[in-house]
Amino acid sequence: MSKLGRRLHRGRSLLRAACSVLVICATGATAVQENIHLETFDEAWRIIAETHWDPEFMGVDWEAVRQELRPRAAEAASVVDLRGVIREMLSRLGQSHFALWPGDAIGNIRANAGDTAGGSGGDPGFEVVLAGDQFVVSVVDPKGPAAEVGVATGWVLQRAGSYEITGSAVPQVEDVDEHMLRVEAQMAMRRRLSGSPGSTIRFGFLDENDRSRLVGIEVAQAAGELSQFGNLPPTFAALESKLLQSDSKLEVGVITFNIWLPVISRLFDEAIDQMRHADGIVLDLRGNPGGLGGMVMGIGGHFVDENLSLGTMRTRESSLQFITNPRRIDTSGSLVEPYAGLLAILMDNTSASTSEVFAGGLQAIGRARIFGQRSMGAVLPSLTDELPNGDVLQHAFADFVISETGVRLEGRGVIPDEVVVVARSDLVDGHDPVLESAIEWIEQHR
Amino acid sequence: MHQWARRVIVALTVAVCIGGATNAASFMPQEVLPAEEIIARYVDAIGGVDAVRAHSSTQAQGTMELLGQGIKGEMRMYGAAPNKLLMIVSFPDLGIESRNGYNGEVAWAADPMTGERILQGDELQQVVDESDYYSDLHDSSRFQSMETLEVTEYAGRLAYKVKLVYVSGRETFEYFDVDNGLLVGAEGLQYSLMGAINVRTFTSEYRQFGGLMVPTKIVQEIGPGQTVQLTIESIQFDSVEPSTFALPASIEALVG
Repeated sequence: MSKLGRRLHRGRSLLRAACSVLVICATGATAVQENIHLETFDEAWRIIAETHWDPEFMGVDWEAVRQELRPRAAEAASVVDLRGVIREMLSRLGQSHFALWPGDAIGNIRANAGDTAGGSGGDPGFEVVLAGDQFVVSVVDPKGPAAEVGVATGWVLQRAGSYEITGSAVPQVEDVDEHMLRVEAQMAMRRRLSGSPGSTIRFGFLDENDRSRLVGIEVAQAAGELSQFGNLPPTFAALESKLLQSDSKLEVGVITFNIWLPVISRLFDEAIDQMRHADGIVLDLRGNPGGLGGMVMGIGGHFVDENLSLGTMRTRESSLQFITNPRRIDTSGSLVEPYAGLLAILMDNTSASTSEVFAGGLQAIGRARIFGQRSMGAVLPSLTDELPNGDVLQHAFADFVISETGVRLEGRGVIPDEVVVVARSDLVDGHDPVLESAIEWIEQHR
Repeated sequence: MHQWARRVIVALTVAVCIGGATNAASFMPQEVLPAEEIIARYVDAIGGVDAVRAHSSTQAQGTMELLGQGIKGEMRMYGAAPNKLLMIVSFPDLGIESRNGYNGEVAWAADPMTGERILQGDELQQVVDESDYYSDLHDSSRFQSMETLEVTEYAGRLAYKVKLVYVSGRETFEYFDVDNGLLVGAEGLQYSLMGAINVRTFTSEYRQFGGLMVPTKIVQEIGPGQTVQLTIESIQFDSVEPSTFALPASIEALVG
């Protein structure tokens, strides 16, 4: 039986078991469930016990966590309840890159590559940024479904499906870092915006004249190439590049990509070939959540002419470094020099993981200037492992510091050299102040 | 262990190893044989010196899987006397094809994530050390020393632990089954662009190909939770074209 087949088989078994539970006992777990629940819980606990980079678990008594939560795992009446217990266990570590992915959702995704996680992953044709305490439309795809119904940059988002924004879009929680609250708000909004391709979501906006607009948008298939890394859900990987001419007639290359997956590497190489003569290059990593950490060595090598360490990954037993590999061969196989012109990187609160490793490393060695907002601060290298019940555990196995400075990015993020605050009025006027600041810097320092 | 089996995995995955042999055999005190004698037993166990020397090139196909990670690739490996190597690993789901080679002079690597590069320093030395096509014979001229350290348990087998120090000074440890003389695994530092990594290798499921016993299952523990399994499906001897080891044009350009 294939992996997927086993997962589906398990899923059906669990469903049958769940139905039995409803009839026989509304609250307790069957012996079969208890076994698989305990086996799954124990395996998740063990994996972290054996692979967490800090044998002291950053001060968390990991054995005590097991003693406390294991009985609840045994009593979990459903797989949903079990996931709640395991997620609570993961939350005790208080670190990024510890997550539980429902196996049935991943199985469904793999069975239908045109769809994505839990009915999400589609594209409504617009993006929002947090401007102050409002979500404001920052990008509208001119060929996308939002443009068809007249959505424009600068509009304030007030409703996404049944979720209504009244007052501040950023929750106010005492004793919680505001940066983290903003990150959480933006990540949650990104999920709400995605939807399932073909479905219609009702969105409410305030337009440029502060009039209320309610529109239904049929969510489109996300652009890009469907790519999958191991056990993680398939993702649409997309890269856009263009050459802009600035007011002072300088040529500036702009490359935007949404995730660090291998399919991006070749596209990036081709984009660089088109802009080797440019006066400056801007890499837009806003909203880029990361991906394969090793890619920073190759992408970084397009901008650095020597083997330099961008960051150090520390496990229990060793330190490994992300070393740039100077890229001296172009896509046609000809000898070239890595790009030596000015390099600007755009970040926001949702730029995370590999994006932070890359930007933080190049910033520390003085090769790039960072514009925008502080990044998420979630950089821990992680692995995924399938658990006995078919769910997938993502778990960090290493810590990460910037080699040049020793700065730990987890929980801190990359601090921009130039913090650029986006105002709604900029977006209404069709401006991208972060990109414009980067181009202005290139003009001044060319 | 054949030349390519020593270093096939590390080029693709990185971290450090954690121990963890299970199903241990019961420990019985054993006489510690001299390293040279253990090597000789091993050579006999895989078919003998003449069987090893009967071939001058090898081509193998198989699979590589990052266990538990949902990542599986196809692998082709080529080796030829005296010291040529080429490994090609492709992961169709990831859109990656990784190549590593050594033509006796230039060691190189190319994959879409890091680009093309010429290996230098420790990485190069490692390839040079391990490139001997007849490495199973453990030619003494390639080593400063060979020493049996102990009889211990490895991969659930009672094994002689032999410390090998290459002429370059690099150390590795190999484990040979006390009962049948076959290699059950090895451990030591492996070098990559990211630095040195301690790797534990477990070899098993020996099958005969061309008069030689070859492990068809090679498992490497490369760090916390990272385990890679290499499965050999077929091996052909003496059919590799010399042009297989020619440098790719992009590497030629880098060499200048």
